[in-house]
Amino acid sequence: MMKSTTARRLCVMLMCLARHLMPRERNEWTRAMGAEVQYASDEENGLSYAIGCLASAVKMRLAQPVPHEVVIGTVAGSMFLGHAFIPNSQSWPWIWPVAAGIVTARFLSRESFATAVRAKAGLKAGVVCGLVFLTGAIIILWLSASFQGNESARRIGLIAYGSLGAVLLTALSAAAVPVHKGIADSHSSPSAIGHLRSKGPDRPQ
Amino acid sequence: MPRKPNTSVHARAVLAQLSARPREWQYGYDLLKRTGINSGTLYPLLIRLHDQGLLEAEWQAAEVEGRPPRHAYRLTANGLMFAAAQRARDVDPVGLLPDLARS
Repeated sequence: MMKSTTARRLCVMLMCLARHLMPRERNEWTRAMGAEVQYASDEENGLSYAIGCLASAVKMRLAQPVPHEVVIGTVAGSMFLGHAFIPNSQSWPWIWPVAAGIVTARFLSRESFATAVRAKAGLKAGVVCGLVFLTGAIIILWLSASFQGNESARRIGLIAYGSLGAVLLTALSAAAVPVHKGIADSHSSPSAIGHLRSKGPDRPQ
Repeated sequence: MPRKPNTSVHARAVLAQLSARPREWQYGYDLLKRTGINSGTLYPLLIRLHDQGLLEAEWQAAEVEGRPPRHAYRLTANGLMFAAAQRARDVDPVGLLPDLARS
C-alpha cells in the first residue's frame, strides 16, 4: 500500500490523465483501474501500474476513429502551411476554399448522414478560415507591395500566415465536434480516483 | 494477413489464468501479478474480451474497510469454451491428434 504523499499524488495525476484520455464510453474501466491502484503492494508497483493505466487509456483513445472534423482540420491546416511556403502563392489565395470544398465533398459523398452533418460543421469551419485567409492574403500582398525589398518582413508575414492558418482551422474544426454532456457528467461523478485523492497518506491499514 | 483474435501470448496467459478458476471472480491487480503482464497491456485486453462477450465483469465491495469497490472479472460460458479451444490448439496446433487416434 502506498504511503508516500508524492507517489500518491503522482498516481492521482496519472490516473486523472488516463480518465481524460480514455474514451467516455469506457469510463467504467477507468474507474476499475483507479480502484486497483489502492491495492498496489508498494509505491513502485503503484506508479508502474498507474503508468500502464495511462498507456491503456492512450491505446484505447488511439483505437477510436478520429473525428472527421479533426481530419479535415489537419489536412486543411497542412494545406495552409504548404500554401504559405510556396513562393508567390499569395497570388492564388482562392486555392484554400476550393481545396476545402473538394475535401468536404469527398466526405459528404462517402459517409453516412450523421457523418455528413458533422462534415458540414467542418465545411463551415473551412469557409470561415477561407475568408480569414483570403483577408490575410490580401493584407500580405499589400504589405509585400509596401515593403518591397524587405525580404525578412515578408518572410515573417508568410510564416505567421501559415502557422496561424493551421492553428485556427484545426481549432475551429475541433470546436465543431459535438460536446457531449456525458463527458462532464462522468467527470463529476464520484470515482475511485476521487477516493484515492481524498484518502490521507498515512492512514493505517 | 490479419492476426487471429486473442491468440497473442498475453491473451493466452490471461485466458489461462481466468479459466484455471472458472467460478472465481478475479481482480485486475491480481491478474497482473499472476500473469506478469503490465497494466498497459492487461486492461485493453480485458476490455476487448469483455466487448467480445468472453469476459464478464462486476463491481464488488471491498473486503477491507476504507478501500474502494473492486472491478472483478471471470470468463463467461463462451469465454470458457474459447479458452478450452485455445488450450487444445496449443497442445495440437495443426489438428493432427484426431487423425492419429483414428489411424
